[in-house]
Amino acid sequence: MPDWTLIQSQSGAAASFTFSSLGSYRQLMIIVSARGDTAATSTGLRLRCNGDTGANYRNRTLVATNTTRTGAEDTAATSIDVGAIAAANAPAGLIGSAIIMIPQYRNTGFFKDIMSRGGYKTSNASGGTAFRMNNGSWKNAAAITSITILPAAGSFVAGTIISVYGLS
Amino acid sequence: MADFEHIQTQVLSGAAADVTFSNLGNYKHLYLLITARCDRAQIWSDVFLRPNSDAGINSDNQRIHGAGNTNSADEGIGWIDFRLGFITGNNAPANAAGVVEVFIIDYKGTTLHKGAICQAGWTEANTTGGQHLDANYCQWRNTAAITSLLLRPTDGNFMIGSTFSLYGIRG
Repeated sequence: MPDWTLIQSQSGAAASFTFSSLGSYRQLMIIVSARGDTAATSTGLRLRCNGDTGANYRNRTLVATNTTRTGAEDTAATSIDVGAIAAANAPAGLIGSAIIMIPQYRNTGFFKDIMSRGGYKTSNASGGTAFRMNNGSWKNAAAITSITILPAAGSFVAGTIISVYGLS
Repeated sequence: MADFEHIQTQVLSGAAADVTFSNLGNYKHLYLLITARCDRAQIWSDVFLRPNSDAGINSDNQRIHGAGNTNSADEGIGWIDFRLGFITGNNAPANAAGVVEVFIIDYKGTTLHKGAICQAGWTEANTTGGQHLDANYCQWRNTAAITSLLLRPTDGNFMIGSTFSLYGIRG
């Protein structure tokens, strides 16, 4: 197990969380527990590097809900898909969770690949719990110096927490 | 101060029907790593986790599973326990154990429900298709802080030598 160092935790209601002091580690790991306020049962969980809002990200996603498995791809996204979270139309308390890995975030030779896994709930009934795996790429060889995590729509609500760790 | 700390490891010196962690420390997240085998007369056993010994039907899970070149998915809605993943049962090849990794996120939070992200692997047979992979997501329908973890197999006992290591992650 690599040595983990807490870089920063941010929590509470916010439109997004930006981590702009990422230290000098080899890899980053991000732990998320969140819920959104948009008028839907769920919304996506997104990540941007260095504040880049251009269509410079690629995504590949696998989702399992009950016995159904689905996949999706986006080759010109404006953010990386790192999961999904429950939102305002889901029963109270439900959340989404994710573990996000960013290997070699300071490397300047390759584009940055970002992996995540987790799940979310939209109801307490059959079909209301999903497992999700994602892989995305920021099509940029620059070192990542800041990370922004945001919901696809709306804002995060109180109780949301996002922790970023540096791994040696 | 390390931000990823060992809380406790339990290595079974005899068969045990369950394993409990009741001192979870003062961290933000928990990481649990299990290497175990069950003595039930099957090739596999679930590993279940019950937060705070809650015996109500308050846990939901979604699993995706692969073995050989096949895959499947299923859910568990309104279960008593988290379904973390499979380990080997007593009809699996000798000495084969299963491994289970679990992140329990914001376990002391009191505003929203609690989620766990899990991955497991185990060996059914030493032949093609005999290696299994499980990935699971679980939520507990409760905003209370988690203060204890009860781990148990489907039935029977965890076998001697099974190891359960719990770590705390600061945040």
